[in-house]
Amino acid sequence: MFHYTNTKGFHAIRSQPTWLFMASQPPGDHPKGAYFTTLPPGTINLGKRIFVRGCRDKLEFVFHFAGDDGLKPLQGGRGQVIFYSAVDYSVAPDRQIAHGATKELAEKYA
Amino acid sequence: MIGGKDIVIPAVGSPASLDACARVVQRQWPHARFENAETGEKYSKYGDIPFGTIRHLLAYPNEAAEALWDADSPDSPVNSMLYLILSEQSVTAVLDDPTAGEMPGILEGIKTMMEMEILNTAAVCDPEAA
Repeated sequence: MFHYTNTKGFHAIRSQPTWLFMASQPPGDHPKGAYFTTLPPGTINLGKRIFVRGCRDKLEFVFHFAGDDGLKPLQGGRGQVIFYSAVDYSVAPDRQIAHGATKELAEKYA
Repeated sequence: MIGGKDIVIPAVGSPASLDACARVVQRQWPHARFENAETGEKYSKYGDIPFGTIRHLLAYPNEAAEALWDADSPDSPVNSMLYLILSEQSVTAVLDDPTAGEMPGILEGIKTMMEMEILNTAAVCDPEAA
């Protein structure tokens, strides 16, 4: 599972041994939550498939972890690749796989 | 981080369903351009889309809208892209505002097409009857 964020979010999340992804209200009519995707760094049209424009900075960094405990799929076709937690979502060190600049990790997942 | 509204329309998950959706889009957006969301392959017109191999289709009303999205521009107008996802029992339309511009017509057209009997009938070829 992957979580994309900006510089500020990246430093805040990685500052703790257990990653904590904060639930927030996204634009549109999606429920408040912490959002995740199975689309890895380097995915073609990542921004378009998440349906965000002018938000390249918010995809600049990424966290990768194992498992999807407690995560719900988004309703509809995007539920194949987009999941969310309605409340803050924590990931203990034993589930953490990688984190860093999306561009750098894209080479790893290519 | 997520954007868009997801509108799930019951449908048969066949290439014909996605084809019908694209035809509706082309009717409402005469200068529509399309893209395979998974591969990035571009199609300048409806007739170029290789239905049967695509399950994730992006549609833009025109070349300018496509260029703005390609550039990740924050100035992309509302409803300047429609993301169609074909699933086993539905088509999901991801968009900005279902009530703005041509979008009500597009959504109504897609819903009507997905209800058509011909899209819900399996094709049968009987050589003896031919």
